[in-house]
This record gives sequence, structure tokens and C-alpha cells, in this order.
Amino acid sequence: MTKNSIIAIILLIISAAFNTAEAKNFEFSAKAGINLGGTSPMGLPAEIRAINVFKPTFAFSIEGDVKRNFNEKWGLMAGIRFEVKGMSTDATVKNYQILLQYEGAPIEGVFTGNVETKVKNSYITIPVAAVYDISKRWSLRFGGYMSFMVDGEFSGNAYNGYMHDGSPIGERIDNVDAPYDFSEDMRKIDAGVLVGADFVAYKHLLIYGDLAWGCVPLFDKNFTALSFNMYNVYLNLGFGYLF
Amino acid sequence: MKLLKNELMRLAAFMFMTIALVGCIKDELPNAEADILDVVLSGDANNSVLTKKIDLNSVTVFVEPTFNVSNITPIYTLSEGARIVEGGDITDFTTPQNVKVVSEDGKWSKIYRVIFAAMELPIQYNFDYWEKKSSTRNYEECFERVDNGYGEITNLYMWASGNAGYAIANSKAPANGYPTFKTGDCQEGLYAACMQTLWVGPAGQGSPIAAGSLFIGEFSGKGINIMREPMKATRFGLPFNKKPKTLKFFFKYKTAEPMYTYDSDGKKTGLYADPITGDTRDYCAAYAILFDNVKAAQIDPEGRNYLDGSNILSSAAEVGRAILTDDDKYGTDGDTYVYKEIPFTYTEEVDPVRLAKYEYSLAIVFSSSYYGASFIGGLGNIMWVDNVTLECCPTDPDTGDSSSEDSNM
Repeated sequence: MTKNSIIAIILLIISAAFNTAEAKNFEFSAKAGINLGGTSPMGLPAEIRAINVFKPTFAFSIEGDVKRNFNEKWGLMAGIRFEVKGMSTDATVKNYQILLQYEGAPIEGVFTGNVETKVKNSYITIPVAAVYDISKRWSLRFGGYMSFMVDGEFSGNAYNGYMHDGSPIGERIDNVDAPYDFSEDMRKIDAGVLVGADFVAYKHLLIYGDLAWGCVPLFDKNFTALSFNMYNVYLNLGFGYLF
Repeated sequence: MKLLKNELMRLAAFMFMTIALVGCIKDELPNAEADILDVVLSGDANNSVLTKKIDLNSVTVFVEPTFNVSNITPIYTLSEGARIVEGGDITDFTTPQNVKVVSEDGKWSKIYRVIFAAMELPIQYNFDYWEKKSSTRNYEECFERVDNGYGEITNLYMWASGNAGYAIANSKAPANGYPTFKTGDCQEGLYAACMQTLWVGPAGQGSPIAAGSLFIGEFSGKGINIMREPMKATRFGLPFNKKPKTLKFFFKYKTAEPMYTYDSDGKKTGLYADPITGDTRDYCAAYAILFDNVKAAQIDPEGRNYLDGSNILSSAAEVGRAILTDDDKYGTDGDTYVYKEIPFTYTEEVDPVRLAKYEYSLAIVFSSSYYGASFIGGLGNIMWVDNVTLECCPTDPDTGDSSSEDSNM
């Protein structure tokens, strides 16, 4: 599916929702927030010995939601969100399987040293959730999301270490300082579970939080340049306007 | 606002740690490496070690020819946690021995051929014997077969090339797709050594071209970034106890291109004119250098007793050289090997006592592009070399003095 057709479908869904909107059964909101979290393996593999630096990058989100109320307590929400998920880390690794661009030439092997990673992925995300209104001010939601990658970057640098070419018994290469870039190897689609809450702070103003836990591995299944899978786990926090 | 930012940062870090550290940092895995990093001899015996070469699958320790290797105790330095499972207790090295190293995690092992070379370096080289060095790369290196002094013919890995460096960027190349390879088109015997200047490709800040080379010494990436400082990987020379007089060899040289310079993307940036002659024709290198290895270590900031690609022809430690200078270096006619005899010229007296103590080293070097180490040369230029003889001054049987016939001072 092309990027444009995805956007077209999403716009269609939203306009359909607006067209059928009736006064009280539907609520609309617009939200802006930031993503905090990480693109990370589930449980660190033993090859990673230490996380030396973790920095969330500026990862914003904007979102439009529509909520259909079925009764006093329960409803269903759907939306569209443009968001960036990103972070940068520096880790100490040992015998870490990786494909590096060594002075421009690809070399795959086992690296011991430091690995810097920068992730900055833009997605168009469709959250869908069941909503439970605890009170007039508080509501909770449980559901899932699907994300379509618009633009992705997963790259970094291996430095301050050495590498064995191919396997631990391959030729040893000292003083490695080489970049890697797996941006093209990421899946275009992410999906996962979503748990969140809204707090209506003042008339039209709401504060919200969503935990989005990715269940689809970040990389294609035939990707071998890293020996473990990674997932997007981000907390989306922000403000909203309730129409 | 700043407070909010700090709080958010903390929250983000907390989030990340919660995901990543489900189960925390795991226990360190046992090491997977199975290398012999170094070998020494216990006690005074270690003073008899002249130099050593350790590559992917062999360890060659050059010792004084008079040293008895039938009862020695090598002490191996291995990768962290690795252990020797076979051959670790061998003390008789009159023939090469196999030593098997297993990694700490038990999953990886390597068998090294350990050679204590208690023989004088040969002075005739036929390039008839070649061996594949890596299990995943196709390149071959040549070695000599020499009497080990105990009546047995053993392998002597005295030659080196840049193939191991080329292998990093070109994992799929066939043996004859490397800069240095064997060829059946020889002057005599089984094979000759063939060297070709190859394009490496868009190699970033790396090596745009690779000239074939063959030299006495070692190619090693230990302690350096092999792609950024390839000149330091070529360690020229092995300790030698004779005074060379004449370098004799058979060779052919065919050129396809003049000398070009290349940028870091491997694109030609222009013709290069030799600084001395102004000539843009590419030419091959064929030379032998005798240098004072004690002085080499003294003048080197890191105390290295060998020369490398940056100073092989410009070191103050050099005492004499024989170098191909006539016009055949630009290319030879037809398909026949051309024979050369090049006398050594000495710029310094060779001390016979120090010579006998191996305080001089010999480097013989061949290359398909003279300025190849500086990434200047013509692609497709090929040099064949076979049947090299180093004629040396006769050694006085009483004094061990081989410098008595001082000819070219």
C-alpha cells in the first residue's frame, strides 16, 4: 500500500465519522503531545552490558479523535495521529552481532565496544479503543493501534572497540569506528496494544496519556544484522481540546 | 518549565528502563573468542626469540638457528576465558605442532599450527606453495618449504601480502580476484606470484584502490584501524644474518592504465606524475632493503623494530638496498619472463658481529603499483614474479663474518 492510499483511506474514515455525527452521541477532540519511551528489545540481550546514555529525542504527536457514546459509561473511540517515535542511546556491548559499514564496505561480524543508536520514526497511527467513563472528568480506554511508517531512521555508530569478521573466530579488526544504518530494514507497519486515560481539566481542555506497546517487531523477519528483535514502547502525553 | 522538562526526561528514562530492563542487565555471557594472542618462552629461552608472526591459523616464532626447540615450554596468551584443549603441553617443536584453542563458552574453537622456526631464512624463493588462510575468505598466501634443521621439511610463513585487508571489504572475491594470488603461468616449478592493482570501490574514507604486494614480513591490523591506516599494517622485514649482495629474480609486468589518483569514493581525480621523473606511467616495485632493526626500534616512537608502508624506502635505519630502476619497471615485452640481477648498494657499514646477532632485518618487496600504498596507480596493472634468489656474501666459518666482501660502499 502506498503512503498516499493509506492517507486517503484514513481521511475517508474520518469524514464518514463526521458525516454521521449526531449531537450527543459523538464527541470530537484534537490532541497534541509528546512520545516518551524507547525502541528496545524486550528484556536486554546478554550481549548488551550497560546502557550508558539514554536520551529521548523531540518526538511530538498530533491527533484527531472521534468518540461514539453507547450509554452513560461505555463508548468507542477512533482517531488519527501523526507522531514521531524516537530516542538515542549509547550502550556497551560484548560479542554483539552487527552489520557495519566499515569505511564504506559492509562487514558483518561480532563487535565488542560501544554502540550508539539513534531512532527517529514518523508514523501515521490509527488508535481504536473502548472507552469507559469513570466520572465526568475521568475516562479510561483500552484498545489497540496500527501505525504506518511515513519516514524512518534507525542508525548509529560502533566505536571504541574491535570486531571479529563473520564469527568470533574470524579475522580480528582493531580500532573500529564505523557507522551502521538499518533504516531501510524496518517494517512499514507497527501495531500494538493501547491503554490510556483522559482528564478533562477545564471545560474544553483535557490532559491525556496513552501507553502504546508495540507487538510487531521493528525489523523485517529476514533481517539478520542484529541478533534480537526490537519493539516500540512509548508513553504519549499531552493536552487536548474537546469540541 | 525547566522543572517540567526534567520531570519528563525522568519519566522517559523510567519508561525506557522499564521496557529494556525487564529482568535487568543479564549476566555476562562467557567469551566467544578463541585466539592465541601471544606466545613467549619461559626464562632465558625467550631471549632467543627473534620475532613472531601470528595470523588466523598459524603461529610462527622465529628463533636463533642454534636454539634447541626439542624441549621448550611455550606460554600462550589466549583470549579472555579461552583454554587450550589439545597440544598445550607439547614441548618438542622440532616439527610444527597443532594447538587447539576453545572459547570460554565452548562454542568456538580454532586449531593453530605452531611453528618454532629455528632455521636460517632461506635465500631462494619459488612461490610454489600457497595456502588458504580464512575459512570464509578465498585468498591465499604463499610460504616457503624449508629444512627445519632436524632433517624435516616444514612450512615457513615468511611472506605476507595485503590480501587480508582486501578481504574485509570484498568477502566474495575468488582467490585470483585478490590483489595477490598464485598463477600457473610461472617461470619454473608449480606457480609464480601474481600481483594486480584493483579497484576497491566507494570506500568512504578508506582505500579506493589496492595494489598487489608480496613482501617478507607480516600483514597485521593489530592495534590499528586497518582501513584508515593500511600503511601501518604492512610490517616489513624479518631478522636476517647474512649480508645480501645481489637480488636476482624473474618477472613480467603488463600495464593497462597510467597512474591515477582517486578520491574517497573511488573516482579518478587525475593523472599523477612521479615527483622525480615527471612520468605518469605506472611502474612496479621490486626491491630489497637491509636495515638495522635495533636502530629502527630506537627511532620509532613506539619502539617497533620493523619498517612499514610509510617509511620502508625512507628510514634512517636502512643500511643497504637493491632496487629495480631500469625501464622494464614500466612494462616488459611479450609474454616471457625477464631476468634481473640487481646489486645492493650500501650506505652504511654492516657490522658482522651484529649481523650474527640478528640485529639487521631483510625486507624483499614486490608490488604491482609503486605508489599503491598511497592509493596511486593504474587499475589492471599486473606483475608476475618467480624464482627469486638473494645472493649473499659468503660467511666466514670462523667469525661468522659475512661482511668481509665489502663491495659497494
